[in-house]
Amino acid sequence: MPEVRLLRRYEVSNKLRIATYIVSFILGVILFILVEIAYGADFNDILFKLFIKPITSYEDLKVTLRYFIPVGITSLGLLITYRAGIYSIGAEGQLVLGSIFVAWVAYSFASLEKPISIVMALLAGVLGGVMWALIPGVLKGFLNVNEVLTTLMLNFVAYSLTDYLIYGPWRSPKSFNFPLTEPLNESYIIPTYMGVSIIGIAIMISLIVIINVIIKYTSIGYEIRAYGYNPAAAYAAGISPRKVALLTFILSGALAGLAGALQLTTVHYRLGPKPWSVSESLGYTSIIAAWLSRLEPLAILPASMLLAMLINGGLNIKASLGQPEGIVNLMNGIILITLVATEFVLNYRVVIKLR
Amino acid sequence: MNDVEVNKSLFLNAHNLSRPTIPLLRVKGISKRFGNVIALDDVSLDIYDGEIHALLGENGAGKTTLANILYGIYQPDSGYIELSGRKIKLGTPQDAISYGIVLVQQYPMLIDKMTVAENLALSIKDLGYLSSVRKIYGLIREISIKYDISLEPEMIVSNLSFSEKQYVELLRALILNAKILILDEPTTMLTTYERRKLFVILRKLIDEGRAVVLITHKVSEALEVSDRITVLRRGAVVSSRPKSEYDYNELVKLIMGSNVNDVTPVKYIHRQRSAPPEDVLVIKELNVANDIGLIAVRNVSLSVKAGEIVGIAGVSGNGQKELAEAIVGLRRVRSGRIVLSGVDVTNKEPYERIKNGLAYIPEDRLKYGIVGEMSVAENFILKNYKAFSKLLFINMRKVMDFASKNIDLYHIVTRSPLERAKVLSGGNIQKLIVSRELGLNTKVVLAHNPTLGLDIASAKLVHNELLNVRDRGAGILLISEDLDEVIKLSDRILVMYRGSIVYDVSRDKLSIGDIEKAMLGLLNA
Repeated sequence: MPEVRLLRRYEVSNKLRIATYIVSFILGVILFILVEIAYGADFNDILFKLFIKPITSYEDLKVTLRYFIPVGITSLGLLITYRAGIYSIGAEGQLVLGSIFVAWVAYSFASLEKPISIVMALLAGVLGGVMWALIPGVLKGFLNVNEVLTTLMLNFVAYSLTDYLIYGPWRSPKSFNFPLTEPLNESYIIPTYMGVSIIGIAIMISLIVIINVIIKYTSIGYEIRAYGYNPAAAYAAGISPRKVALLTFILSGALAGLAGALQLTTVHYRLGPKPWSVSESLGYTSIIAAWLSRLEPLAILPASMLLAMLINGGLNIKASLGQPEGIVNLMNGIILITLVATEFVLNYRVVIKLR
Repeated sequence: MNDVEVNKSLFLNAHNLSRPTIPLLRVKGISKRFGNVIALDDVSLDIYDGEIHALLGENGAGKTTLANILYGIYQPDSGYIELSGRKIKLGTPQDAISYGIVLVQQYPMLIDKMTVAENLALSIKDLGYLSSVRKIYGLIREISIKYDISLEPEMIVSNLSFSEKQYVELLRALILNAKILILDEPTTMLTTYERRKLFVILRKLIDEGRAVVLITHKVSEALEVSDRITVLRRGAVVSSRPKSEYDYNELVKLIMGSNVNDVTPVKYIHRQRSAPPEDVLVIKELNVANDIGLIAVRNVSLSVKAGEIVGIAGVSGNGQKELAEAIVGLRRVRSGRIVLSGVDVTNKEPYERIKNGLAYIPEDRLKYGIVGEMSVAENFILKNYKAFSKLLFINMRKVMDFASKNIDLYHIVTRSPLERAKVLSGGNIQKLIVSRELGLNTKVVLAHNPTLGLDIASAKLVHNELLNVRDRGAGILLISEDLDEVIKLSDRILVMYRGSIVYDVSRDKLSIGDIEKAMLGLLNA
């Protein structure tokens, strides 16, 4: 009988790291395709819908880019917390709160004119996200409460808050009793160019450049990196864990809230119930995009583009094969699991010995 | 149990023969590279049964790499290994164990929450999946009694001292019936007394016909205990002869090679002062708990004056770690006060202490001293990165200049200031930390085992720097398990035992005998 042994790796080359990484992604996609084949789908058709159609047909490219923007901005924020060794999964809730704040501003100051209305809306979104992120931030910084639990739970609170508003005080009288709010005033809608939000893409790219500079070239970024790599040494060197926790949560909350604001003002125009809510679970998708980028800000661009393609492709598959809503989440989950699981290959060498 | 007896007779027979012409283990032409670094270069040596064979060399000389090859952790790029004249291939540690070669690691690899027996059972393959660990209690007791090791199979590993944990590793090697025991720097954490006891055990082992390979960087130790000494320098064997053919000075020269002139001799001058200097560190009735909530530091009071080195000697595990962490601010105190240059910093964050001039040379360098994933240059500014930044932006050019200057000044071996700090050798990491900590506006230095595991050149450099910073007027609290170091450097010597200061003497009145007694709790104060 062959004997299988696991040996710990003592050195890992960059080549191996990148290769493992690409293979794990491909493996995740293959696993998903196997599920689809079990559903009766055709292999080539699935590949075409996942990787070719989302960027070749103009109609599909528009949809891909529509996901690209919120995923890029939100994952950029999550990247900051992950760099500090803080595992926030709360971008979803922060994004939702951003959209709620925008709606509140839009309904309260309906008469404001462009561009002040737009600036106000985006600032409101940022504020909403920051407020929601500060709850786990303060709990983590002052009481060392585990952020994974708090951020996850607050996502559900955010959903419920939306539900309360759309079923209750904000329900539109003209919605035929559907739980939807009134559409935003025209002055709160960000214009698109041929169906593509150029403003959104511009904001995302400039944010990527800014965050890249902050992380790599400033003392704030230095503190975040030092704390993330070795909290004990950073603390002993006088870096405040409180400051790092608050700062990273504020930054990631601001970005998620901004993404929520853009979702409402460029895509949805109104709040609605799941699964048609503003967030579209993109706060969770962004977790995958952040890890896919290997926490490298500039790599957020290709990582979020790839995930946007997959979301779009997944939706195409769903629609054409009449599959349930969860199919896109299933794909995301499979890819995340293979990404995490293949870390194992980086830590251990598998030796098979034939006796 | 029967196995042990059978093997014992086997060993006795082997020992009764006269010196065999075939060595027990022959290493021939072994080379090993890591990337661009040549760790071992055509290394050949013979290890005979009934001998303690010292592998002597500085940090980075290739001793540990060689040990890892003999234990099957690394595979050599070229060369081969023979056991009793037969070529063998060591692909994994399991292979090595099956040939009777066992490595006793420098830092014991044990599962803290399990008992001694449970830890040992993990290494025994033929115990079966469902049998009780109690089966090996008898075997453990038998071996412990035979070699005078005071361990019981039921003891929980986390309650053991460092030297006891090392004995668990040694027991493991004996249970596995090791014919060749490789010990990697076994004495770095031991007191003189514990070290002598270990050497007695090693003698017993070779008397049974086993071979012991003792890896060390201490010349005195190699001369004290070994029968044969092989000197490694930069991955190559520079000399391999019976001990009797060496003397101390020759060995130092062999180890250091052309570097020998780089080391300025340390002048251990102890200054006399007329004006009474002020206290820079005052500790009053300090009580500190350990990780499991038991009091580890008991009513400790002490003070350090400017321009003075106060040494705390003691066996590891007597509260030194907790005391050091409380002073730096990594551990809360139960009661008592810590005052730095007149400012009460009790239970304040480390930042407040750094602001008041506290420098820290930690015992656990990788955990508290550096951020291994960051570059060497970035680690140089870990404590004062703000001084290198303007409007939040870090001036990387200034940082690189500063790093290059220090790398030259302290002879830190690194390919580039942009290399990750964790790839440096232990000695170079310590040089980085020392240069960073003592370069600041330092009023008080807390140095905890500052030369643990360092080679001669690095240790001397650290000692020199400590004496320099003392001469510049800083007060130093030196907590060290190396009694020689404490005696060499300190103006005043305290001994810590079971969390209390049990002995306090100025350097002109000290008696080494009393200090050693105090360290073992044998002194009736």
